[in-house]
Amino acid sequence: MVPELLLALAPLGSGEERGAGAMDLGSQRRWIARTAMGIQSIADSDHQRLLELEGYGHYRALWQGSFDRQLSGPCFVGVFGLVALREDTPNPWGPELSERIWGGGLQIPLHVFVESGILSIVPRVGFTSGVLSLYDEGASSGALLLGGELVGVQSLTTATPTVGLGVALGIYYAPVPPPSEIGKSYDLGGAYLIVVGEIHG
Amino acid sequence: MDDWCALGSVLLALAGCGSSYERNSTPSKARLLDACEPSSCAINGSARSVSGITSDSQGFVIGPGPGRLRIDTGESGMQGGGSAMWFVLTEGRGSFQDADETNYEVPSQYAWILVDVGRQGWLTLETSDTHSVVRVADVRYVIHHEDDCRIARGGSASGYVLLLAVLSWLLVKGRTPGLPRARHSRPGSRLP
Repeated sequence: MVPELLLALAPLGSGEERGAGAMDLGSQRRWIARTAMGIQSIADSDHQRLLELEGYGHYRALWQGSFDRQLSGPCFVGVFGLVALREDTPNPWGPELSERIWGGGLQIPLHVFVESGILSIVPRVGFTSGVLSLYDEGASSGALLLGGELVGVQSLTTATPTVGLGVALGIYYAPVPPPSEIGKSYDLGGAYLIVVGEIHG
Repeated sequence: MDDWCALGSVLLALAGCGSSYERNSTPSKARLLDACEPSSCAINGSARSVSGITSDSQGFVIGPGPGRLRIDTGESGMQGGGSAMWFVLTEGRGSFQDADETNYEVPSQYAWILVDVGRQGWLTLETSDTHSVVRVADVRYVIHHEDDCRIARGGSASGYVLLLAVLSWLLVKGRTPGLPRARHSRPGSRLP
């Protein structure tokens, strides 16, 4: 039963590919590379509420990249990296708030190959570091990152390696200590919606 | 005239056609705490300078224990005959007093507090007991140019209809509107 399920999950696109995928399962491991960009809603925290009282918003721009290698069946293992930025001038007036976040770590995704693409569940663990500043002299703080995302990718080509385009909905948490002496607890994470570009073979 | 001006501001805001109060108000142009120098921000007792909303900005903590923060309000300048309203973004516990010894309760979560500066020329935040702690994240002022009161352009038709209806009713009733002007706002009011 389990091998049959794996055969059902593994195929790609057309019937020929589906057969090839089934044969490849034991002999050739698949790989998936993704890049993505989108918008992140900053996680709720006491310090974020303080920043909002100052007139600053609650969105970041987010870029991600990842590379996964097949372990067996739908189980993959991979690495990811992310960059999140915000440059925010408050309403009505004030200095520009700058935030730069870097992160990376390991992911153990489940990639389910369906008729026209891939559906993925991607749990993640890693480390992230961020700098929050008004005058480009802010101190960085780091935190453990925990999160995950749901991804749907539509294959755009049938040749191998296959190119695809999709969307992802995800969230990660990275709580950090107060970034300043009168600051409050803060979180470098948040929920996000991103457009995903993919190539897999 | 001032009363009609205040009434017009409120009615226009309620009617959704834009408040002339907002149009005639000038916010302070800097994070005043970040520009603090010993000559413009004086601290005494338990008051101390700390990092503000970011590690590279400035804030203040007063308490526990008696302490005082005084900020020179000269920059607001009362330009053009306007009146300045001073707001403090603060949290902590207990209470503080201003220069006139008016008592303000400190919110447990950060909130904007309208503080009366009076004619002292200084914004004063002072704790006198051993319990109170006041964390100050920001200070801002808004100058309201009262002489510039006018009906804002671009309002919706329903707004003007509502305004005319209320004014007509007031005239028929023979009442004189007596809404408090902004500069008479009570200390402790929150910034909307």
